[in-house]
Amino acid sequence: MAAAAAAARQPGPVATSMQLKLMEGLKPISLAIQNDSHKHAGHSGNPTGAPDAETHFTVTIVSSAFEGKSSVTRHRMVYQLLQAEIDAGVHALALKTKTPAEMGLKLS
Amino acid sequence: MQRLLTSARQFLPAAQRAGGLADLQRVGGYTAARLFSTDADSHDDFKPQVKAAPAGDVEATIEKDIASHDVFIYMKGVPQAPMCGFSNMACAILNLYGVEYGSRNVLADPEVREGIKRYTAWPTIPQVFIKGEFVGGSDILHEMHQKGELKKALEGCKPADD
Repeated sequence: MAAAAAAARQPGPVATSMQLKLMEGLKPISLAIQNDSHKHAGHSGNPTGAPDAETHFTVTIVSSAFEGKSSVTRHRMVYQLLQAEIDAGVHALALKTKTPAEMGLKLS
Repeated sequence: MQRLLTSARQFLPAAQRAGGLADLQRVGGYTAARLFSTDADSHDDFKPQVKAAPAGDVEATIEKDIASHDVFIYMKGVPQAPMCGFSNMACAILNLYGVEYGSRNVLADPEVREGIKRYTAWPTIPQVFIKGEFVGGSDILHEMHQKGELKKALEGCKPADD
């Protein structure tokens, strides 16, 4: 049980793979991938409710790659990078896509 | 426990005995899953899906949907009873503005579910259209709401009846 709880806190293989792809594809200055799968245990997309499920995520990305792009375009950029994960069973991705300027940050 | 298992094996055909307990459990799990997915009250997501009509028909349905309503949402469930948190949020936001909107329950229509994803090249549900244009999913709708952009986008849209 303690091992399962620890596993849930560590990024799983899907989260790790998403992180690598987003880092490479968007060169973000900030990237947070939060696994929300436990909140959807037993629901559609995460029917088994396994403690290490990787089906629902909230991804917050701050990247200058989003500069001058609409939200739809930004989300599509993320979906394209993560196509393999979505096809393989990631059921929901809540996305927050911001530019450094929108976060009140200035790149030196 | 070991003794129980051993005695249970005596009743199994030789082939299954050779496969051992691991095989047995796997077969058991598989059968249970099959039963569950066809269960009458199983979630729509897990029911067998039938895909019949050609893609062109779905596209025509979608184009008719979004042309016949100022605001249209493809969602899981219906506005009175959304079946997913994201669809629920999208409806809640639209309700705030008092606009009339059409909806289609993708859980009841697997063809539309796949068709709309192809149509917009957008992999998730819900999907919201305003004046025939795809605006995005629930995150974008929420963002537009917070920034005050949604009010502008919904200007001139037909108000809800009540």
